[in-house]
Amino acid sequence: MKSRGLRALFGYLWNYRWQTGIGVLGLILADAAQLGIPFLSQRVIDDLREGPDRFTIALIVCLALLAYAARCLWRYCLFGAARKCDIEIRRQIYHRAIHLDLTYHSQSSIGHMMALATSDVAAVRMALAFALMSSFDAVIYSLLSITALLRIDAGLAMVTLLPFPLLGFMMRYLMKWNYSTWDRVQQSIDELTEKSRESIAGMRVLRTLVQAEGDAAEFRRITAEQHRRFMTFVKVDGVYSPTILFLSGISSALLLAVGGQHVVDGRLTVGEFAAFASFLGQLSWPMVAAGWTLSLVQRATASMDRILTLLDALPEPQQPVLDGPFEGALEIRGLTFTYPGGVKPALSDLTARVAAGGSLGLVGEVGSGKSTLTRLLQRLFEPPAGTIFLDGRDVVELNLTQLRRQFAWVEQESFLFSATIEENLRLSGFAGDVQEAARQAELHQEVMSFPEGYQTLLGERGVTLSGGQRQRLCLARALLKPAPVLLLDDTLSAVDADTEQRILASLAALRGRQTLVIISHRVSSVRDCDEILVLEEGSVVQRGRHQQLLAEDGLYKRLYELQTS
Amino acid sequence: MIDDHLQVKLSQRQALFYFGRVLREAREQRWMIALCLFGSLLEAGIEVRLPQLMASGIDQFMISKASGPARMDGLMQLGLVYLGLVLLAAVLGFLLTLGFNRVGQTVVERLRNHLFEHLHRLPIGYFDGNPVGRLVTRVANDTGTLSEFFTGVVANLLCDLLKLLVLLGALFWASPRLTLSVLVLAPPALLASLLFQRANTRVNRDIRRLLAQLNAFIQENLQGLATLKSFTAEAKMQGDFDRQNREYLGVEMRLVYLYMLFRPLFGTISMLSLAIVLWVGGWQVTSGQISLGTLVLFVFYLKMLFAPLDDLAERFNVLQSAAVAAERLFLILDAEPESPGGQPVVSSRGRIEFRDVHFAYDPKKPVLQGVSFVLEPGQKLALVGATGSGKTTVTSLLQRLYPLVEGEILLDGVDIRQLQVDSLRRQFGIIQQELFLFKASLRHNVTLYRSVSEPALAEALRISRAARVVEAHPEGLERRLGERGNQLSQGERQLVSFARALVDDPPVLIMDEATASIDSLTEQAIQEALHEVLQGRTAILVAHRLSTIQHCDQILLLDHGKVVERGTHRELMEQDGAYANLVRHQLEKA
Repeated sequence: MKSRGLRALFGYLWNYRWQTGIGVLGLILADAAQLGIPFLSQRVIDDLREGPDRFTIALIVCLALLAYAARCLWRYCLFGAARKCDIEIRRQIYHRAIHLDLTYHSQSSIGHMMALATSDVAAVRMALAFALMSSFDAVIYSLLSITALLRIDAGLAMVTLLPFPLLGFMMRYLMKWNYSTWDRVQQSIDELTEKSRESIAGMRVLRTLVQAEGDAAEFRRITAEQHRRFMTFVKVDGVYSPTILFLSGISSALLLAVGGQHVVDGRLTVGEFAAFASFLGQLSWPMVAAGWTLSLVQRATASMDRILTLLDALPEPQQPVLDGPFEGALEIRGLTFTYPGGVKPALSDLTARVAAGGSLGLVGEVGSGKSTLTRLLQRLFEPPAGTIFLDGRDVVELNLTQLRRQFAWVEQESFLFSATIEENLRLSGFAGDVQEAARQAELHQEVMSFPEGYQTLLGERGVTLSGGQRQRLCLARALLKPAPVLLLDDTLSAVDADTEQRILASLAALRGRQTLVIISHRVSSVRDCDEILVLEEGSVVQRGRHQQLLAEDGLYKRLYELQTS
Repeated sequence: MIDDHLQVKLSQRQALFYFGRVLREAREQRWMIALCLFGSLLEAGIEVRLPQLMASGIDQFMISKASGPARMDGLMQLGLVYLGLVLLAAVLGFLLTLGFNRVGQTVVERLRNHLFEHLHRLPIGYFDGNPVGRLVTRVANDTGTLSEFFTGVVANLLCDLLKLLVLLGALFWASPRLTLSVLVLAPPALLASLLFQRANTRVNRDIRRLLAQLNAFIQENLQGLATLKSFTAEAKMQGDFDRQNREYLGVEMRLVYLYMLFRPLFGTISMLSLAIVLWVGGWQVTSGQISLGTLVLFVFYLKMLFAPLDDLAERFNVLQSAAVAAERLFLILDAEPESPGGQPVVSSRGRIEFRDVHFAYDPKKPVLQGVSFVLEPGQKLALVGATGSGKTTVTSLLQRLYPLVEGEILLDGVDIRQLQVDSLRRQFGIIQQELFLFKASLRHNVTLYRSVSEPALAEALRISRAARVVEAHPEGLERRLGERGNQLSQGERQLVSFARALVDDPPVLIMDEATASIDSLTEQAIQEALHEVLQGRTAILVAHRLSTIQHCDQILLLDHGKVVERGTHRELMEQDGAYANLVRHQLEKA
């Protein structure tokens, strides 16, 4: 086999080899039963002098029931196996995806991952279910029926079978053509969806700037294009059934003209003629299936190749767990880091030291590299060896899960899951007083104002929180995690001034107990830190305590003045 | 969005009502539809005729007593006729597919455009209550379902029925008794089809729901992967995923069982019918009531008779979902658009007056309770107050985005309800708090669909300081922005919105300051821009920054929709009330 994708496809099926084997057996049985019927009806038709033969008709009824049972069997076995493979592949994709590092994900995209888990998995399932079934079916069925045709009248079979290979061949090409035109239709539907999504989301802007007319004209252009592409698709797609009809019609016409003469010559009985016609009529399906199967398998192989690329990627390393507990002393030595695919370093030559229970502040403009540090500390992106130390141990040598348990992180862009408030707060899995954490983050009262309190569902199917509420929920989530280091990344930007003051006051109580790393573009947030680093384009341009920095004539002072004026 | 996954069943009467309306949308296509239906009838006739040719081949030539060569010639001719008819049927089939799809697509295009234009005319309040995703589904997907109505239902269902009728007619013509005996098994087959359809709808609904859930779960986990890793929640999430994935397999297997039981049924029924035909028909041939050819004809027809039953269930599903889609579409189309208003505003001087304005989005929760102020041309007004105090509402009402409950708003002394709404809105340059940029070039984001001369564009970019943003990238104005302009910083997006509002050189500027963090250097650019922009313009500022407020001619402090303090910055500071408190707080924060 040339392709790994194809091999992997069969690999999944191999896990269900018994089920598949029995399914194929059922398929053979069903086909045999189906093909037996024209023979039996031929026997009835050819011998009607004393009425139809009771026994033969009873046999037809038996065969019909047998065919039903056999079909149930193969449907259950083959389609069931395909569905099981489908969820297994999806499971593998998901499990691998969340264990890959962010470097991998930053070079891929969520859209791509979702396509793997949805359309590629579907393509594979289709191939496993239908392609497998129909290819077996096509082979068995056409072998059996061609044998039958040859047995009845070899010469006639040769003549009437002429159009069929052509049918399989044409199907294959039509399919290919069909897919490419359908892709173009799909693109135009995507464009249409995107356009309407954007216009509706931006309706206020378009309304206030009175842009309805221009926007509608643009939309009309897109719908017209969609219409045009769809009709192109229809022209390709619409060729199918007429082609099948015509090619199998040729063979029927040949049967009528040539086969009829054989009947006249006495070489063929009328019953045989009718049987011949039924066989021919049923033969177009396997030929169509053959063309269809080939293109399905082709698509699935391509999909499987894409899935394998993901499954082959190496997950994050898991080093052995070391003896804890950690105190939370941080040291950063000459840290320079460039994001994968980046040109300029996000951080260059950063050096700092925070004692356990101490605090470090980082200030700087947007894009100065402040947030990068929080990601490197937790090895969300891999820092160079020998640059970051936790309690004197190089972080790259620590077990990832253990390392990340040492940090409680409040991200700049608060991310919450579509689950209850309590489930969100308990994300880290630690038992702890949820309400106490929410109180510290000034969130408890608001949560209690929801009818379902902490069991309130968040997200699309639940409650939408305001920006400030989201930030405070993220803060509470981090406070609930018993970690020696707390990382605050521009945490309170959407929280109003009063609330912010109260939160800062309750955070002040943590001083000495937790190591604090505060990142902000606001001077006010970091003024109380033991040491403040001022960053500009990834480099430290100033360092010291608040008063010290104010005394210097630098960026810090300029920012301070701008923000307080 | 939950209700989108549920296929709400409509009563037959409602369904017919909506189909009637859909068909009315297709009235321009009526000749095309009539032509297609006629073609379908022709096609059905041919399909029924073909087996008859075979049968007459048997009766007239194969078992007749005519001379050898005459029979050969006759068979040859019959073969040619057969070929000709097949060719005709194939071409006809292709044309019919084309025709029905053209009708469907034309109607869909029309409906989509109609719907989209209608959305542009609906009051903005409509969008507060309907999430974007839902409306997008209406425009993009539900209309698509309607096109299936034309191809799937009108074309296939109707054609199948036509074919069935023609076929039954032919069968009856050939032998009424044999026909009745064939039809013995039709009622159970129909019943099975209906049962199958019902179960199938249910299972498919569950499958769609669970799959959507599963995909949403994966997508969310990927979006929040950094959070998930930081909180070491991988194992927990994997557990959740595996549980949901297994649950999904459970419903998928239900589908497998369902198809397992029902799909082979139709084939089996047609085989059993064959046994009946052979038994009954066989005796009829023996007793000379029908010819051998007729018996063979019935054998051929059996397949055609039972084939439509096989997908009848699916057609009804399409019919059902098309009715649901149609209802959803017409619900939007039936919503009342905003009234366009009366006389056009030519060029406003920019005098604005609010007279005891009351307003509420929800009758139980008043948002504005008697707001009054007068703003002379060129004056600046600052609105200050906590979140939810009604500041943004004041600006929305001025643009007539919502209808007033009580009171009056006057532009240059004329009640805005008497003004033509588009021309009214053109008087305002608006910068919203929620900065919305489009996924398009920077140029499009500034000009939108307006024709703007290059010098005017350059001037707007200069005044707004958005030229900074343009120059920051080698592609300049042609630089393509991502979704919502996400590669620009908050501050940069604000500058672009400035430029967008200023391109028309509007006499009144309305600005809702962004609350989210803007870095200090961009902030400085914004302040410079604002200073220049405000020259000579009437302006209403929903202000969060002290530097903006201080230079205003009038400050209104709003609290729960009421004006609690008003005056200039200095006056209010001297009053030492709520405003002065607020200012001190802000200074502390900085």
